[in-house]
Amino acid sequence: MAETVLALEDLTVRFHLRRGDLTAVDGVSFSIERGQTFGLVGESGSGKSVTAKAIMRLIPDPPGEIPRGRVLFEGSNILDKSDAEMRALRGRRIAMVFQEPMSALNPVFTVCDQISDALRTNLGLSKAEARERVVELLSLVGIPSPQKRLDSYVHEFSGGMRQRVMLAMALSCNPSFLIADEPTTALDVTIQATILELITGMIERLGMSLLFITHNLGVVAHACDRVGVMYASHIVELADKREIFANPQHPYTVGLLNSIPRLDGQAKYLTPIAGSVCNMMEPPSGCKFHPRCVHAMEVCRREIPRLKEIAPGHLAACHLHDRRTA
Amino acid sequence: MLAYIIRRVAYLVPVLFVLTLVVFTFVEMLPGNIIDTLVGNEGVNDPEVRKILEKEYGLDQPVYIRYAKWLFRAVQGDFGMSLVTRRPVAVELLTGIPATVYLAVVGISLSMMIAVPLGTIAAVKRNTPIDYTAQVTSLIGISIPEFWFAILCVLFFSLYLGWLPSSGFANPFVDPWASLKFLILPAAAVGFRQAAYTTRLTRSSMLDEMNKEYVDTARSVGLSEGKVIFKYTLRNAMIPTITISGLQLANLLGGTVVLESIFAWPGIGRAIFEAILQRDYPLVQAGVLVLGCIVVVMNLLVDLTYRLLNPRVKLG
Amino acid sequence: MTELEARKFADLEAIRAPTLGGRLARWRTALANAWHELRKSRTASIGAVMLVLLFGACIATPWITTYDPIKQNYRERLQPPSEKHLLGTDRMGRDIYSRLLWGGRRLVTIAILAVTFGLSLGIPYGVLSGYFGGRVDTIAMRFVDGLLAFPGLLLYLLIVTLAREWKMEGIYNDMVLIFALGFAFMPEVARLSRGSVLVEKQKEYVEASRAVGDGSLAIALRQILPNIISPLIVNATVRLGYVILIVAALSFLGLGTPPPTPDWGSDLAAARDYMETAPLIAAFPGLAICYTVLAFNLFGDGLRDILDPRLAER
Repeated sequence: MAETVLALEDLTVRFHLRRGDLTAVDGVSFSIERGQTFGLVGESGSGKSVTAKAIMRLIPDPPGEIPRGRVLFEGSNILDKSDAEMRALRGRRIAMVFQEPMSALNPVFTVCDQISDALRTNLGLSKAEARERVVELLSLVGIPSPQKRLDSYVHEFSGGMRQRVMLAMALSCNPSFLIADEPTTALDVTIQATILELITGMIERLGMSLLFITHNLGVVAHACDRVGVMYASHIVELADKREIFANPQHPYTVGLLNSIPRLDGQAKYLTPIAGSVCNMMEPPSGCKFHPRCVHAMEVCRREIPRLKEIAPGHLAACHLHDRRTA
Repeated sequence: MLAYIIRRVAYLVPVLFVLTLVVFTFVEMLPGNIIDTLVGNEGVNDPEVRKILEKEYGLDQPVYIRYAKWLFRAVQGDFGMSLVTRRPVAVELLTGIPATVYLAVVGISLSMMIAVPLGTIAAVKRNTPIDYTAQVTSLIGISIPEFWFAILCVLFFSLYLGWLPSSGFANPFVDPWASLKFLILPAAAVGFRQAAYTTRLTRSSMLDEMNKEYVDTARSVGLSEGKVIFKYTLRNAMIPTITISGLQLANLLGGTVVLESIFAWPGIGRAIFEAILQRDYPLVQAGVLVLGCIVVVMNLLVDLTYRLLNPRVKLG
Repeated sequence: MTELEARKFADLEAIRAPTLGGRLARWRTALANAWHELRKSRTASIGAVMLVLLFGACIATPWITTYDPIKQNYRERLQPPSEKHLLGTDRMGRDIYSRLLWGGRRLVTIAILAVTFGLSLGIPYGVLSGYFGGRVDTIAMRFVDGLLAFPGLLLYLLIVTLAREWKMEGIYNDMVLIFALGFAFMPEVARLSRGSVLVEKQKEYVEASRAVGDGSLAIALRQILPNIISPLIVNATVRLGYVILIVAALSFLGLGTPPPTPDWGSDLAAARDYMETAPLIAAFPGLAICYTVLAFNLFGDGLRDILDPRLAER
């Protein structure tokens, strides 16, 4: 039986800003099993990056706050851990790859410096040992002539190479869980595929579990086993990949899938989702999607729908299903 | 890299040109006869001598020839004679500049030793009482006039407590202890304002850097908070701080006029000021010129240092 | 499109319509926002209050002073604060309180005029330099750099000395001060303005495919001005305080305001001789300078926080 590596239970993250309070993540729950790749999909501002940072406990404490919820990593609640325990986890057991490698890596230090720092802190390697390991890692992620690139700076690499460096750094201490926050978004389309292959290849080879965050459904279709769709701080649908593409149950997911251009020429016009993402400082009452939803009903304006299982392993948060399960 | 340096030096030339132009115009615009201005009244009543001097200074020739002659001499270090001491101006400058540099360097070093840690702590502990205290003190610090602060220091430490002398100077190579005693108050006065400014600067640079993503990356790999702050963030934040402090140092060399007067510090600032009072214009002219050139050169050095520190722009 | 959305669009169109009512409405909301932001920023509020008090005192000076600031009264020299003389008297028996008020009025006026002068020189200089570009720009900027090469007080000293030699007294002296201070502010202003112009020019090249024709200068100006206003306002505010420091320093050296005109700097200089007997004389002018510069700095800081779009929320 597959073992649960990561389980989020009712995670809520709130920010106290000058203009007011913002709940970026509201009651998010899902779980990831060992060896599984979970795709978290949503538009910008849906809260997916904040979720990832919350898992790593990288949310700055003012102004951010986690008023409720649990994050169970390998059984124990991350939110309860002390700073020292958290630091021991980071890098060693959980690692993260960020979206923009140019800003996510320090421009003033060499590549070798940054990766060996991680190695020496987590694995206690000596300077020379760390250097060797960095060479291994760089070639593992496919950087040509790694020996020569050791002492290069980040800006001396091309976009795709930089992302490989990020990946090398994340994988350096053999974590069992990787979070990838839109790792391909900032890259050229041609490079995107290569990096994606690299990541999925590494995950499989090293037997890791992956939380893949993206807004690109195509990537999800390619790489993920299970998918969670986020909209405006909530998970609105959760299912295995096949299920979600074949049988989407939430109007937002349907809208997303419909708005993808198709090469088989079935649709003449693109059907976008009407309206735009709600203002998170003043969200609509009830279901946050209702102003844009073609199926909106009275109840949608009043109550926020809860995530319910509508088929084995397939959950959705929509009042449309109330009648069916009632 | 070399090409860049050459380009930068070439850029200096027009700036220096403007500098010399302004200084030259200053003397030209003084009322009265140039000869009297530059040579003083005493020695030129004899019309014969006057004629010779007029020729030498090019008074019979158009302005630009005069300018060229003056510039030619200046570049060789011949700034004429001081009207007061009757010694070559260059000598006066050479005695004054080291004293000013001594004061400026010590003042800025002191200020950085206080300001950088303070600014960093304020940034790290943002919006806590420590931060507020630091912000308030540094804000007040840049609002206090230096000379007032200096007077208050003298009032307190010298007149009231009697611990330190109120003015004077001793050569550090000859008598280090005495030199230190004379140095403390002036350096504190110089350093106080600088420290306030640098604290604010460090704090805002650190805040800028701390918001950047690579800080999160460093944390995500499990590095300790101390390492994240001091090795990674501070190193990046220091780049603007150090470069601006370098520019401050350059500016300070001409800005110590008031403090040097208060503390009777024999620096170039005081020399220029006294020269103004005594109408010793050759000295004024030369002093301003030399200081201006030093500033320009220091700006260049700071620029190059910045490029050295920030690998992103290394290849210029 | 649902009815809800149709209504939303209609509202938007109404607001965008160039009616007078629409425009006024937008202005009012903009001002209301600005006021709201101002009150929220603690530094800006405190600074604003301090400035209001300062300007109030300057304007009200003729009515709130108690004595003629230059009237000497040797029988009452060096008195401590009392009922008769609110802040005491100086070495010539002049009332310090009145001197501070009149001195402040003069200093603030000079500062405002100087900064305005600097802005009016620098903005056209920078904008035109950036607009024409090429060699004009290069030469213009070199000249500005040359001015910036004068460290500390030196440039002011030169100009003030010239004025002294030419025996410019009274109002001419003040004008020279204003000129010197404004002239030294010009380079900074020119640099800022030029920077904004350069940014806008880039965008203009993109628009080049469309025939812009006449009025391109006007269009460019309309786009540039909003960009430079924010940093310039902040800069000018802080500069006001700095200018007062400079005038005080010059007067302290004896090269700024000739006696007996009240001036905080020269009062401080005079007070030095009496530090042992009457140290308070040195305290008040210094505090006045401190207060004024602090007010401008606070307000400038607050403004910078409000106007800066990259307000770090974290």
